[in-house]
Amino acid sequence: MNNFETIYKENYRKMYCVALNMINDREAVCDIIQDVFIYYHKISQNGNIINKPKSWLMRATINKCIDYSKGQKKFLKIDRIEPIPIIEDSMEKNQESEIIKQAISRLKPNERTLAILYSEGMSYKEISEVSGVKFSSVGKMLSRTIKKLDEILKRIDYEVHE
Amino acid sequence: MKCMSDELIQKFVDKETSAKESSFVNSHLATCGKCLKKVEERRNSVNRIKQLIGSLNKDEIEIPLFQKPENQRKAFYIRLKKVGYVASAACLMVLFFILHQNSKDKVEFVYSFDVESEYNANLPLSEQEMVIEIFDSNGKLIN
Repeated sequence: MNNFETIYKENYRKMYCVALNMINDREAVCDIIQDVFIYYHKISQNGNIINKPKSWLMRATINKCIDYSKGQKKFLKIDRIEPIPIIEDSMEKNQESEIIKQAISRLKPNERTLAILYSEGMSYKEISEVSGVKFSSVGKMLSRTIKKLDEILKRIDYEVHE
Repeated sequence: MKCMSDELIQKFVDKETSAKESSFVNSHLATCGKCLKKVEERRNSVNRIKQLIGSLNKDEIEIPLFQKPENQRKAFYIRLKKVGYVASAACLMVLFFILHQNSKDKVEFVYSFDVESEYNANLPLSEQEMVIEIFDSNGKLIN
């Protein structure tokens, strides 16, 4: 049990950050992480050993977030058609975070996962473990994603400053 | 010399190149200004993206206490229920066994009748004479 608590404390913050970047809904993120830990607890109680708990937890969180956003899509379609940037000039920091949030939301789910994990400072090996992408193709996919994200950011910058 | 691919540039920026790749990149960058520029551009965009995404959740995250799931208790009750079922089934079996044992001790009566000996064909069936003999299980005549 002690072991479980240390794993919980060690991983919660990172899982929270990643999940929040994925779905941007604090309450849902808390629920998702709680669910993941309950599932993990259940598995470890049954005597099954998870070799890499950190990767396992992160993967479970990301999968749950993807499921959640798929479920939400049905109801948020109108919002997605017209992303209106509500940006105030006075709050520069807020503006930046709005821009990156929009840019991330325009990526495909697997690209979003990759970008978020990458920005968390994970190595290619960790990214491949968590996202399920082959280790050999992490570099290729990352370079594509970064390029795409860069283009989206430039486009948004252009839209904002117009 | 062939220029660096996008993937290789990305790997180099992230310091994930193998030893062979690193030596190639270092020797190539010394001669190719175009690739050097590309690497610099990529490094800048990576830093910007990392910084932007990293700045999203800067506020303090409170770690809530983990609420232990109540499944354990449920499992205990389910187990208790199972034990209850097994116990009641065992009780019923024992009860049947005891009843069966008791029924063996009971006296077994044998009813027999013989009509053919005194059968009078001229009389209707309702007026035929009939003798009923009752024996117990040892063959002793009771009545």
